[in-house]
Amino acid sequence: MSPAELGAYLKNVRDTAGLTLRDVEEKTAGVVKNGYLSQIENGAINRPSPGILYELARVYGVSYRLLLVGAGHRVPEEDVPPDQRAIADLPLRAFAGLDAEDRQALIEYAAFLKQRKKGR
Amino acid sequence: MVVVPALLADDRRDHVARYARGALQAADAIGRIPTPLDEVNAALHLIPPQELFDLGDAPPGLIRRLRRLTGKVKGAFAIRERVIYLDPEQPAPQRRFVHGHEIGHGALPWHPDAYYCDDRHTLDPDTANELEAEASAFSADLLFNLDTFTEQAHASKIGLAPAIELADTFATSRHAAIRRYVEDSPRPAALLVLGRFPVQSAGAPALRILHTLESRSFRHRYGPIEACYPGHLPIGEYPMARDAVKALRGCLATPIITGEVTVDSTSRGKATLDYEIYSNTYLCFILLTPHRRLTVGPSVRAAWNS
Repeated sequence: MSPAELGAYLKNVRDTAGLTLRDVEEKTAGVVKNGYLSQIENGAINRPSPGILYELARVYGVSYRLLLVGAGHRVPEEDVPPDQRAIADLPLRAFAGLDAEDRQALIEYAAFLKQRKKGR
Repeated sequence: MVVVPALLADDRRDHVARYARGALQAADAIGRIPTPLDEVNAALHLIPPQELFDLGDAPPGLIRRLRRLTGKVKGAFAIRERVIYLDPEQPAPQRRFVHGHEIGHGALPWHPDAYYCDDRHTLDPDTANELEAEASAFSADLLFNLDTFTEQAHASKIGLAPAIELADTFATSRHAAIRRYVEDSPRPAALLVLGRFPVQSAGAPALRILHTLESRSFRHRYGPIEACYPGHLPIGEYPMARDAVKALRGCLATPIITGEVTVDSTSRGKATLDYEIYSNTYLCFILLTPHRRLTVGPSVRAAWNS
């Protein structure tokens, strides 16, 4: 699924679930406003935030991870410069503003922590 | 991770605040000042914070290489293990902010899968910045205990003094308290945060504007303050900038200096604003508020009329 296809996919899922736009607003406690969802579905907004996608995934019972990729929040590794990629499961900003040597030291440290955890 | 200023659209801030409220409620910490972060940590079933570089049994070569990271990385969150790592060397208020930030990564349910899925994909750098901003907003909501700080700070006349005084009570940095004070102000207020050292801009000495923010009501009335002060504040051009230099050098008779400035490019044209300047010697903070005209109370008017 590409960002251009995300809206149609979400509309299809909502229709299949038999939910109106207002139903979704209600089920997300107002986090996803009906007007906003309408703009997502018609393609006017093709990159809703991860928080919005999480709420939609929860209500529709679909994969949040799939929506993250569909909206372009998670991208193929080769599309991101090596010095900006997330490593292991540490938040990416751990590496922001660090040079290659700093980054390498952190990668080794993350590996060391994992190894130590396994050994315990 | 590196703490970045939290500037989110209002609806996203509200979404984050719901989870911050839930976290405080789970720890029975609403209204408890300063916020007991360790109790929030425990209520969310996160493992108690560990030292970021606990290197007791690490190979000597790794220890040597990690020394170069001292001060650069303040904290991290191992998502699968639900462990927060904090640099113990940082000042306590900063450590608390970073702790709250890392709790945010664990408490906002859309963060873990965004950061980590074993699927040969990686987080888009722009999305990463947005999630960092959300975690910082979450931290601020914890530390300032939702609206408690704002209600107390804005109970008196607008100015930097209430924010600075309450920073100790809430165990936050003055920087964080001033940002919160302005961002959540019910009254029009804007903030310029200036760098410490003058730089050359367009051939003249100037102070670099590191970031700006404004309250909703300021934005509604004047537009974003960034449009009025993009980039630099030339020292020769603005008396306000010269006052900022004095504040940064610590040569003021009072900790807060006041004045007024005319701004040409607000969304409603030329406007006169009052300013207050405070420096923690690393940064300079300029609070901008609508100019207060001298008002004459009823008793004085009655005396004049008689």
